[in-house]
Amino acid sequence: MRADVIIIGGGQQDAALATRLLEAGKKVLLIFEGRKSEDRSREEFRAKGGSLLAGDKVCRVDWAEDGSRVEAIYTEGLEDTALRAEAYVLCSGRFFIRGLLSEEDRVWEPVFGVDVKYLKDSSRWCDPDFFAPQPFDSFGVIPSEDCKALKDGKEVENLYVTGDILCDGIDNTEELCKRII
Amino acid sequence: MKEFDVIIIGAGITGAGTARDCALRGLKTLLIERADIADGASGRNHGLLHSGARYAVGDPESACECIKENMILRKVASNCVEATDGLFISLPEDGLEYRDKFLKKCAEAGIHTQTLSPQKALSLEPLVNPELISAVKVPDASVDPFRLVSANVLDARLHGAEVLTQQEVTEIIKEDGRVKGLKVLDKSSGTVNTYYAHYIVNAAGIWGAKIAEMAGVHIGMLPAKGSLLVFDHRVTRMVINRCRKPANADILVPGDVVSVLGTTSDKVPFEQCDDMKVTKEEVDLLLREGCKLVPSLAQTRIIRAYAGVRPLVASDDDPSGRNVSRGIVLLDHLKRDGVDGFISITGGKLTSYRLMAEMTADLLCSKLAIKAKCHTADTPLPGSEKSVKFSSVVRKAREMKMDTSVIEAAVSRHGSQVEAMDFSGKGSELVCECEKVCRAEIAYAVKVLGVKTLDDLRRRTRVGMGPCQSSYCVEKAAKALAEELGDTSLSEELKKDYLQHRWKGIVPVCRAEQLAQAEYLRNKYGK
Repeated sequence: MRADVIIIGGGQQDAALATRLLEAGKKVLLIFEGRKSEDRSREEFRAKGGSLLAGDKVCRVDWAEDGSRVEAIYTEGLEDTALRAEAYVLCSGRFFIRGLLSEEDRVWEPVFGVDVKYLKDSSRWCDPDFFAPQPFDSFGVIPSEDCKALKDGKEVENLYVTGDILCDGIDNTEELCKRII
Repeated sequence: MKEFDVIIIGAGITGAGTARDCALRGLKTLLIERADIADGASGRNHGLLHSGARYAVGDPESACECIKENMILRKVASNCVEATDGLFISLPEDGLEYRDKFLKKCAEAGIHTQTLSPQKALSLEPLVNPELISAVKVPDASVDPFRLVSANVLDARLHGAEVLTQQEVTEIIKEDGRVKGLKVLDKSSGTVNTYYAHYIVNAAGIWGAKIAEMAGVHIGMLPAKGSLLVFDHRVTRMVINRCRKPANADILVPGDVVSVLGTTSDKVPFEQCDDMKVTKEEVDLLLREGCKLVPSLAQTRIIRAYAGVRPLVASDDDPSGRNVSRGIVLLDHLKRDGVDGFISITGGKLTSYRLMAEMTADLLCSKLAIKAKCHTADTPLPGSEKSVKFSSVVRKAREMKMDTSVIEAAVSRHGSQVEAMDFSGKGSELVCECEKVCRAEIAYAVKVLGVKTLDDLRRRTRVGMGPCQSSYCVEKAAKALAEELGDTSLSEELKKDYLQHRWKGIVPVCRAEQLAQAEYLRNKYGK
């Protein structure tokens, strides 16, 4: 299967972004792990002709040999069907919906394993004041100036990243739409 | 000016038990607490009713005390105790030498044991370490320490004792070398009140060292911190122990809807006792050792960590303070220091609190020349007077058109006291879904158990203590409590105080699945 843009969603802004790209004339596939959604924005995206793959999970990524590009992705539900696109957008949310995972002293992004900003020492992840900004709020995927994800410090040519998965509360939606549309 | 026969300082289990015993014997009793009931070590332990097996080899005297008290509390505090039984498992590195000695010593202490093959143990507890080479079943049990303290406080009050919380002792009044009374700061009003009594009992746990100084006597106390982890469900049916010399993280206790693993043991300075924090190293140590008992703990969500301070007492005959009395320490300060009117009760264990209270009340009665016998070994605590039949729970649920499990949960916490709850109207509204706490239980806790804050409510009803750690119910609970207190404007403050207070236990384990929950909790309430 081929699309112009595949959005790996789950995060709060995934459907709004998908709809926007769709309306700009792109063929968009939105994949997200949650159960079949009652979320109005996702339904709206589908109603407008977007492709929605709900309740499915990206389980494998084909990388270009030099690691510079994503060639295809695969989901648990579609097994060996390669899903290909000009651009992939990672918009899979934060810890609560498993866009980011953690264990002692480590935070990672599970789909592509792209570079994440976090504090190494997990005893420094929280502020003792519940109502203060928490250090873990600032953790997240580091975007390049071109809104792309980095892997081992190198920009991945066709993998964009946006939404609340980004570190430091960065909002790059406008910039990202300009680049993809 | 108010005068009492006895004023007891500290509403932990020892103070609460002593107040109850004194009140049952007809003594005019006042119980004073600087925070809330079970706020110190009494509310920060495993919730384990020891069979005594853990002490059988190293401390036979404590083992005998434990098994006797265990059997008594099963009867008189039946609604606080879950007769889970316990397993002592031997791993290959433990060998069987200790186990053999253990079996012999348990027999000597009167602790019933049953040796199980590894296969039998695994069929009873499929998640224990499959490498075990032997298991011994003992009558350990799970006890809710909050419930136990609350029931003692309630019964003390029902027998005429006065109970004051949020009262900090600021001065001990002495005249001619004799303790006469106390000056107490009422934290809610800011006023200082004076109370007089024939005797003052220091039952303040680790804080008893400071109380003793106020009375001009010295008790050599060594604060020993014990840290524990809470897992999000009942991993095992029985209490799981390691069959070896007692060490770190070798007990896992199922209690209500969660499991508690502990403990560590580290000397800490007195300054830290008011604000114990569990360190990353302690979490790691607990988890590493705990996984040897039950390997799947590595994949189980840890919902919080907490620490209590054991009030270890240096032996009076050892000036270096290195030798510690592990048993019950009852100090008659007239005999020991020449200060009359002052008694300290400390050391001991949660399991032996009733005996500690009996010993203290015996001493008080002999000093006051009152001939009244102790009845706490055969007088049930409120809620445990009679067992509530399941059929009556079902009947009540039908009558009130409620889910049976909600009334059953109230019965499991308050036993026959459930009769004092009004499930009609708003009473049937479910507030905490994890622990199944309904509005009727909250109303009861406010009216009968002296609840003022959400944390007070938590200690008496377990509201917010389940797997969701109040993410779903804190708003509802705060509103319900504010309404019951008669001031709906309190709701926001009650909620904020509670969230801040409970955050402390989440911080040390805020990673993996629990970081996901913490993020949710903050997005919902913290921003």
